[in-house]
Amino acid sequence: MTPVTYGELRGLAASRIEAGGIAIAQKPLDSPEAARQAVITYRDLLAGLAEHAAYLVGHVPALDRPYAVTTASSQDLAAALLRRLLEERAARGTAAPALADHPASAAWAGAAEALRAARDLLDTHRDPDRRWRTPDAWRLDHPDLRWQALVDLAELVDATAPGGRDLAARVLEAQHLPEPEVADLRDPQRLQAGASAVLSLHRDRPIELSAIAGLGLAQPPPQRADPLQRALQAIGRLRQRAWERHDTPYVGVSTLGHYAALAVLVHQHAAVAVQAVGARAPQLWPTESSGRLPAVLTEAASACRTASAAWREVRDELAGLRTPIPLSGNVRDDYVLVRDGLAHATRSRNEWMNPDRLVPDRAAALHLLGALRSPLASVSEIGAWHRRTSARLVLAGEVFQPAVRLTGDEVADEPTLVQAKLDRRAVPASPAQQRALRHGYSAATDVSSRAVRAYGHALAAAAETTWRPAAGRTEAVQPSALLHLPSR
Amino acid sequence: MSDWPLAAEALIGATDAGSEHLADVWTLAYAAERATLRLAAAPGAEGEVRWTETAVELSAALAELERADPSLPGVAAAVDLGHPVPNSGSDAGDIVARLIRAALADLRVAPGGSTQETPAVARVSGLLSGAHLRLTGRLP
Repeated sequence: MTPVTYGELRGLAASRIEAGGIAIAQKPLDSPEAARQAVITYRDLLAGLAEHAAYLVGHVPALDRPYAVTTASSQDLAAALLRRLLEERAARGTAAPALADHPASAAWAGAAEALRAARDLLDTHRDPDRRWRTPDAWRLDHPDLRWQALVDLAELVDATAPGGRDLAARVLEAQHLPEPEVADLRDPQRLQAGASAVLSLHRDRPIELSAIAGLGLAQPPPQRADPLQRALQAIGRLRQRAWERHDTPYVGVSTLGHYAALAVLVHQHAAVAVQAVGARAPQLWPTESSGRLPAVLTEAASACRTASAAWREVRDELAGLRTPIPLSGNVRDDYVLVRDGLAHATRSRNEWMNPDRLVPDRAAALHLLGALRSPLASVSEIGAWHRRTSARLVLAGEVFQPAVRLTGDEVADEPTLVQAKLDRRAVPASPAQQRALRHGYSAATDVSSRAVRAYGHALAAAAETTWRPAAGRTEAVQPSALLHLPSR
Repeated sequence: MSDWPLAAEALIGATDAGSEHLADVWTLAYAAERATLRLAAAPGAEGEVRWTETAVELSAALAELERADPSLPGVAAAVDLGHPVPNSGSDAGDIVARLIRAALADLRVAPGGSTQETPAVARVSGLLSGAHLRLTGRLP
């Protein structure tokens, strides 16, 4: 099972809303209790939608009075209007719905549950003060991405409104409840107009697939024992930890060294993977051997090798330096998980599997390339953060080297260094070392992001070639082969 | 270029006689780490993962040693075997493995250490064994 994402929960809510609408249209309410319950669950669903809208909009003081003159944008006003309309109709102070005996009640209760779970999932990316606590949390505050999520929510509202009309009709036809109890639900048009207000302001701008819909839990729960899945999760934790700490004084060179070694290994594995796919390409895609696929695969392999060499130099530089900050045990543990997961997927007994075994078919090729994409992107991101971390450590004078290892040339004109060498003390990293570290990080982050792009092109080309059925052949791999990726 | 087998032998012999056992372990682990880093950077080693993996274990072992005794990088002898002789991949691996085994042996004969030292010694021992495993595919 893959970790759940926001988009999936919202999809679940949508299908339950649809099921609820169909159920209330098809089946009468048998008793006053059933009617009361259906009304409560429906209103609770509206409350769920309202809470969700409120969460996405965030707290904008001016929006508490949406009809007053404010400087808020028309988008914010539309969102506030929708939220108000929902809140007016939502349940207030009612007890939690009991066991629902009409299928519509069950469906609506499920939809409200999915919506609240989706909101809670988003909230795992924030701390109690709504600040970002994960490297992905910026998406929640990005105006375009947030608006996209609101538009998707407005579509849910639009789908929910007719259910209220049918519910009111059912209640009134059986005279289960007095008319005022459902009067506000009889006309769905105001709610739908509120939803349209949001939908009409939707600028049809291409939104990256990995927008808010792609967000997963900030801390995915432990998975089963598939080493590659565990490695992908460990990468996620390392990324989170690196982001949390890159601006704090708790990262030392031995921790940075582990991350750099991880970058070396991940790029090496990525290079081997694309190379293996390239070697098998003539068999896997016989009709495509003259297309652009071989070229992009070769380019990706070489970009990954270059990046791996660049990270190795960073690693070498770090190995000669020391900081008073000890190696982080969590980083070490997750490094081991990633290392073993990568090894499990690509090697048998310390040797690379040969391409036939590594990529027996197209699905395996896409699976392998897809699985390595997120570690590759993550080490590149982490590298960019650590470039700053290392620069800060150097500036703060926290990076040392044992003076005993200084050569005669290095201490020649520096009496203090001579004394330090004799006293076997540690001295700050030399200007040459500082430069080497700085250049190392800057070169590595550059080639690393190039490798990520080239790798992305290779993956896209392989996927495209696979899903476009060749003439006379309909065999194609399902896109879901790529969807096992963890939440990113 | 330098003669790795000879240098390694000399190093193992010299640390054998030492009494400062943690410093000797540090010296051997340090020499092994430098050697693996050089091997990882050697031409033709682009696809080799084990040098990097071994170097990580060794650097974790060094970090652990230095946490137990922060003066180690200053007081222990830091020896670098120098550039490896080209095309000596498997031999070079054997030499590094011997350095690791020597470090482990020094660690094991340590006379009853202080209370802070004992857990550190256990962790270092695990990391050195791990390094040997990454390098050769088997435990020492």
